[in-house]
Amino acid sequence: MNDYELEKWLSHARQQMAQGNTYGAIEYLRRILSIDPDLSDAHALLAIVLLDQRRIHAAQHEANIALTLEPELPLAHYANAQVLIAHRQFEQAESHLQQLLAMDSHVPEYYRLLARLYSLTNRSQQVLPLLEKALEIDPEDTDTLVAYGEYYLEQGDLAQAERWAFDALQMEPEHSDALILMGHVLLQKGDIEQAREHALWALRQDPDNPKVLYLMTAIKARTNFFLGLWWRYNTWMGSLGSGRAIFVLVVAFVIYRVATIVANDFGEPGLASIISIFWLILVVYTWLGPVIFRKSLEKEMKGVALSKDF
Amino acid sequence: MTSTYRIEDEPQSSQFSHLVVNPFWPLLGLMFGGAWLAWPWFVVNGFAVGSPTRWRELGWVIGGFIGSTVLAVTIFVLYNNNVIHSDSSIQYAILVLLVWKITVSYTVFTLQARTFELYEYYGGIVRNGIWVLLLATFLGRKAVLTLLPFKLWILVMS
Repeated sequence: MNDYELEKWLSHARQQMAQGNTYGAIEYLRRILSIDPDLSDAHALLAIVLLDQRRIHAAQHEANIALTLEPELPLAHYANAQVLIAHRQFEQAESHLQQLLAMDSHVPEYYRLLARLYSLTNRSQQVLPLLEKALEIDPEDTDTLVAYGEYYLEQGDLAQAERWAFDALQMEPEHSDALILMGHVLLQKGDIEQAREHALWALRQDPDNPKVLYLMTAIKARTNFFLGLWWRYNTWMGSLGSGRAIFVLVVAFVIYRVATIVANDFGEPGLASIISIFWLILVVYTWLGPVIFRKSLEKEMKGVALSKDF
Repeated sequence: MTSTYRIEDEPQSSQFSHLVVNPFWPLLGLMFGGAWLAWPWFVVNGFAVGSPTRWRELGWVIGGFIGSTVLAVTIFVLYNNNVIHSDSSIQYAILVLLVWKITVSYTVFTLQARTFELYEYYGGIVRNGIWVLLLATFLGRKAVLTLLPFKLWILVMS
């Protein structure tokens, strides 16, 4: 196996990533690393794909290998920055991004990721200059247009968000993040049906994208109160990380148990029973929620055709 | 071309893969059977699924039994010294023990669930754990909890 073949597979992996096929990309990268386990580019790319699959521990492992193998590799710093953002270790992530920009200040992705980091750390006034820089480098980069739209959506400026989403979709009509952005804009404007169509179209383009599931849920939350409530709970728990999520579950259980003991202590066995029944319903709801949500999503994916207007 | 590179969180090959169940079943095992059922089941499942964190899971389970024993002994000491005597104070004391067991179980479950998802995605065979759960709940529970005539045994194992 020569370097040319490995490069070809690396390029295939990048294509798969661009198409949102994370499993396909992983298989190419696995093949490459089976032959050359010291190829830092492949480790760094693998870290990014694993992160897309929300396998953040494995992603961190791969990003660290990439950086150890080649400490000056920009892609390794980029992967590390992404992983650290996922771990909410913002200071370290920022340090990697600053190093990246010192290495090469002409890559729009670096500015976008730094903008995202600033947005996550409530430094929104620093976001726009970075996006302007990214746009200046490549005015036709759809990802930057979407980043603008997402920024304005966060700021609550629907008109601006819609303008950027529209521009992005004109440039690339099947860009999943642009479709998702437009979906959110339409949802906030109250056009649930159009928002749903955008979400379904994005889902067809990029079924692994967690953002699209988030949009679907936001739509469901507007149309089905119970499923929406479950999804909000699920998203919140997911954002906590496993350690804190376990803590929340245990605290909830303690509150329930203490409440029943106190109710019995005050001579209110009826109230204790009501609390127990309520707890049982809550447990069943959180267990059945994912199953019902998945089934309803599958049903929608099968049964819905996009309207002619779309 | 055979793929050999293994990503850190992926399951390793195991000769006991025919015993794999969704880790949700051992978690239910804690609720319906007790720690005696759930924790060893988690360990067997961790090795069967080839979990890269199986030794950590085993460590949690061993720590779980040691912690439960320490807590149960403390409850008995406090009870014998009349520190806890009312019904509700006994219930609060047992709640501490229960919280410990739930924390250990959820931690092991979370560790194992990551690998299990990948195992299932790559077409691994998964058994239905309901029969083990039913047998253990209706037949095993009583047999295990009455195996030794000590209340400490019941508190630790239940």
